[in-house]
Amino acid sequence: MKRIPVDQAKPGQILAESIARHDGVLLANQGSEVSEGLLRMLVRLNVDTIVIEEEEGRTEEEIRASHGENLSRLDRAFRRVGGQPVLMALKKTLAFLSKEEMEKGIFALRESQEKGADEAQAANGTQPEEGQGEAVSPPPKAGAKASKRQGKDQAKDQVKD
Amino acid sequence: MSPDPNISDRMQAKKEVRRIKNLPTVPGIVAKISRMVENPDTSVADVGRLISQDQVLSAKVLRMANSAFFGMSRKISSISQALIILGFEVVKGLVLTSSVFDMIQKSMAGLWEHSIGCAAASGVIAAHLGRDDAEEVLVAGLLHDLGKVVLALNLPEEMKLVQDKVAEEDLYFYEAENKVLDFDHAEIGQWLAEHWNLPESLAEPMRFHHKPEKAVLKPEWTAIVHIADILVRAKGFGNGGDDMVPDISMAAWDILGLRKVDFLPILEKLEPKLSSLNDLTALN
Repeated sequence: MKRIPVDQAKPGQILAESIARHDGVLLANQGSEVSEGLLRMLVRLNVDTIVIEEEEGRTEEEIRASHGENLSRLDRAFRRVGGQPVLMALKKTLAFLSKEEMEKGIFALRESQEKGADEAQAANGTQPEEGQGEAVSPPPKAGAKASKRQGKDQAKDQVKD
Repeated sequence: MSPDPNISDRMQAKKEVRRIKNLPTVPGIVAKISRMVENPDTSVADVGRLISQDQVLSAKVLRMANSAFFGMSRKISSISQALIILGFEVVKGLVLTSSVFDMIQKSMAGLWEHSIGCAAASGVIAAHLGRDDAEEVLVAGLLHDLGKVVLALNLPEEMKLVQDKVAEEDLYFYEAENKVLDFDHAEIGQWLAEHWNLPESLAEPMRFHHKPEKAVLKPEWTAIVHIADILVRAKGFGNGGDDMVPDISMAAWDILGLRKVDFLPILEKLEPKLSSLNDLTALN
């Protein structure tokens, strides 16, 4: 997911987070599609940015590669301050945030893939299968139930950093 | 330093000449505001009217006032409203920034982004520390690298030499400056601040953001800008002249009372602001 200015938003994009007015009134739900009407309303209400799902184009490999690039960049950026404890803590924090971003991205991607698979099978009149693909740890807020396979597969999936 | 006193004298003379002859003149509106403020009969409304007369400038000021820096819940739609909500010092700072915006954009690719990133980070750090002057520190963060702008625009050949040295010897920008010129953008910033009659609240961060322990009048603001500079470089947002994180001044760290655990909440607050600031990269 990413935050973009409203004037860069396009109809068809999917909201990753719901939008509330300044006084808390809900304007649009997470998961709903951006429309021309919504954009006009947001402009009128002076909403500056929205959070949308990344375009379908991002594969899991690309998301992982992006995190890998972040880690390399961090190594380069901190190359002259290796011994400094406070700066090493900063580097670790940034690496952690990048990893979190990656895991959120992969989780969202798999969610939307599973949703697509479910819909396709429903259209074909067959039942969706449980536990497709490898398990990955969802972010804590999602509260998803852990499947029995997760323990073993999680170990395989852990990103080495 | 140099064993040959004659060379020192020449360098010193060179420095002096550059100080006086090559510094850009203060933007007209900034000088006018300074003069108006010296007159005790001037009201804030008077200054507001003066600024509003320049529509192009006012538009830039309002775009910044409404940007992610300040996170205002209500849109600011006039200079007088900006003066009420953000205060006189902040608006003055935004006027100054708007006046030099073109210069900054022309000087070095990525310097404007680095500056707005540093401003955002300064504001987030100050707010995290519970300070009520976060908006003003933010302005200091916006302008901390004006010395680089002067270097790029007024001494372009020297600028090229400095950039080449950064690449050849893998130096920090200020290290290369000192090797090539015997002075750096922090000193240039000081000269500029004097020439333009800028308040110490802006001058000290410009002068001491690499050596914050030397700040006397605004040590906490300077410390915040120092740390903010480190954060935006660590995040790779914009370009400050080299791609490295500078060493941290533990004096600055300690004077602010920061702890390692503060990095996470600060960075989490900073990230969405930096994403939102993408629409400020063209102030026109």
